[in-house]
Amino acid sequence: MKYRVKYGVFALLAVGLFAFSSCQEEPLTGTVLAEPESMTELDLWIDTVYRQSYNIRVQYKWDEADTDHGHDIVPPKLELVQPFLKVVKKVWGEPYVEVSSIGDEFLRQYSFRELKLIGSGSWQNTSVTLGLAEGGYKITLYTVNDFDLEAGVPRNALQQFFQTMHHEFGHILNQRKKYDEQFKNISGGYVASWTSFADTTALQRGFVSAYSMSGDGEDFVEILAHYVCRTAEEWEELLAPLPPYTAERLLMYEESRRMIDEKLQVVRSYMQDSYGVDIDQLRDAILRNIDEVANGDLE
Amino acid sequence: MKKKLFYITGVCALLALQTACSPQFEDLFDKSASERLEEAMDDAESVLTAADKGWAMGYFPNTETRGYVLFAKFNTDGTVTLTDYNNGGLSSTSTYSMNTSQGPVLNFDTYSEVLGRYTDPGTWLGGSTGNAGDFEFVIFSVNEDEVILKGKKYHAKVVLRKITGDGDQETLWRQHYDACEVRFLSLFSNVVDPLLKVGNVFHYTLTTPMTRVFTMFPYGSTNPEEATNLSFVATVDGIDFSSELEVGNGVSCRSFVYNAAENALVSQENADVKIVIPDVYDYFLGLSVEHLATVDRVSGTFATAFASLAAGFVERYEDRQVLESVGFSRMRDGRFAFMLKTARASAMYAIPVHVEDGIFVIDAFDAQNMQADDMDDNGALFYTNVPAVKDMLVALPGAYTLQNNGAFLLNEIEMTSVVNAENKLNLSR
Repeated sequence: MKYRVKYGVFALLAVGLFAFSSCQEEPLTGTVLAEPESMTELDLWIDTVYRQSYNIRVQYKWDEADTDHGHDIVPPKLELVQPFLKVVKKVWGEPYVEVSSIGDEFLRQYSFRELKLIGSGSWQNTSVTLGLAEGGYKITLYTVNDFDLEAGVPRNALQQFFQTMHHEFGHILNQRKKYDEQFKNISGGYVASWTSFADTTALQRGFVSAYSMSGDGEDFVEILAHYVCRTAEEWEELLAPLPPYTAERLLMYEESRRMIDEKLQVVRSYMQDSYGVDIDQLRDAILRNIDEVANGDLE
Repeated sequence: MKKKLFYITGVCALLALQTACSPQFEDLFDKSASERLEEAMDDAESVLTAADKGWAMGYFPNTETRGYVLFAKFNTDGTVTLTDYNNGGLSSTSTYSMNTSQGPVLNFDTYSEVLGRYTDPGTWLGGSTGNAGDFEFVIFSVNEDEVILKGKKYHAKVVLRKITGDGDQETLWRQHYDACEVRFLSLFSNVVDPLLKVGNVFHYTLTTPMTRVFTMFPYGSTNPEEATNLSFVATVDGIDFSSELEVGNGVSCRSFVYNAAENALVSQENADVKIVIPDVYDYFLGLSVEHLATVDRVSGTFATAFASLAAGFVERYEDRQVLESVGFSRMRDGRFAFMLKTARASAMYAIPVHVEDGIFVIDAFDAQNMQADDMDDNGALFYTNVPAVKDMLVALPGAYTLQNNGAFLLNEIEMTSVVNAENKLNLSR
């Protein structure tokens, strides 16, 4: 099994619909979603673990609305769905529950309402969509069929995938509560042609990835996702200057690091002030759970 | 205020008038559209699950790609087992459902390893969006023995035919698959390109049959830009195209069954449309590439005839013109020609011919203005100077049979003696 992202450029698409802002402070409590008509063993498990606990509906079967006339995508393999969902819960949901002062209520109040699983990636030339966040209520995760979790998935592949998941959830949080508008002025430099930049170039310009350069919304969640899915050492490694170490380049890296740190501080404050979540505690919980999954403990 | 009241009264009057004038339509159907749709889905599901030995599924990923015979068993618990003997007998069980996005739709709604081969973009590194295969199908028609579907995105027709018979399902499926392959090979291997005709008029030369995607030339055309592709799948008794082929005057065809008496594939939609192995001269008049028969590629009485022809050249020219090969081609001006190659010239000598009463007859030619040039009618002199040339042309359509020397290589053809008095090609069916 190959983990697709390592092959090259990938795109994380998020549709930012802020129309929900007027009702964003209204928490959704209770199980507002209807029960499915007929349930298999898997459906019953999903109902208990996702719907009743977190008020999240999971769609793993192909639906008529899924037909994508621009891309070939396929449904997930049935046998991979439950292990995948266990790991999503463990590496995405449980860390938030653990570090939030309101526990389970965090996800019941702030989570998306629908999680859709797609088996393949959604390819477009040389880029592939791995995740999609829509309107504050729905996340679509692709490439589920690449994750035979019971057979074992390497730690770095899990880190990369859950970076996508936390990126998309960052959009959901932003769609509920807006971050400080000054964020976008810290580095500026957002461009439509971000695909023509290498990640290494972005790192010299105040961004953690080339995709961060596509807009301040992506920049914000890229910083969050890259930070919480890396150890402190890995974060430093990501931001460390690359040779040649000329005085000019080192100055550029220094300025870049200053901007990233400043943006990280905005992210940190936003998560703490808006949601009561300490991103360092969140990172510890996520990485601990990734390690457990990599060691075969999916529960 | 009065003005407002006037307007309100006017609008009310118009509405009342409209209501009064509304024509009364009688319902065309007893039930509403949604009720009929529900019924259609229930019917389809009942028929699909009722086949206890399952279905043979003539699957096309899309209309450009060859067809594959797959097998499906639909179960009442919402699961479906698919098997693919094209892929080492791979079998997988997933789920299916019905929905109503474009009328009733059959939807393989969790991943099937079998369909995944044709639909999954996989780990792919550039060039397209994926494998361009459908796993959602609009249900076109439902009969007890046959269900016709159409791919929702890529629009290929997919026909499910009920498997019947005694024996276990796997054996019946394997037998059915083998029968389709036997039929395919008997129809198209070691055979010159077939022609599609409507009535007595030839419409297309169907080249590259062994790829299961015909490259169709309008009959007599040599222009690649006029060629179109049409994929097909082998069935037990013939072939199905991936989509309807329009052949003019509102006549279309898709499903063909082999008729032994006629030695033809006959359209089930219109019996006038047939795919036939042509008579020799029809074949050569429709060809688009050059065919050669060299001395080492002839056998039987044709070898004798070839030897007679060679002897005729020796008699007339001694060692100045030694015959090496004969063949058929188009000349630059589009005329059809019998070709001769001798050791003296690197080029071919062409004898332009046409068909009259079922035999090749030489075209009129101008003996005074012949050019010593390839593809001119410079071979016509041989026709007059070597009597054996005329003998061969007269005998050719009725006396000899052709066999191509490889499934994909039609540039050289072996000629063997005739085994069929009706001028048919020997096809070893």
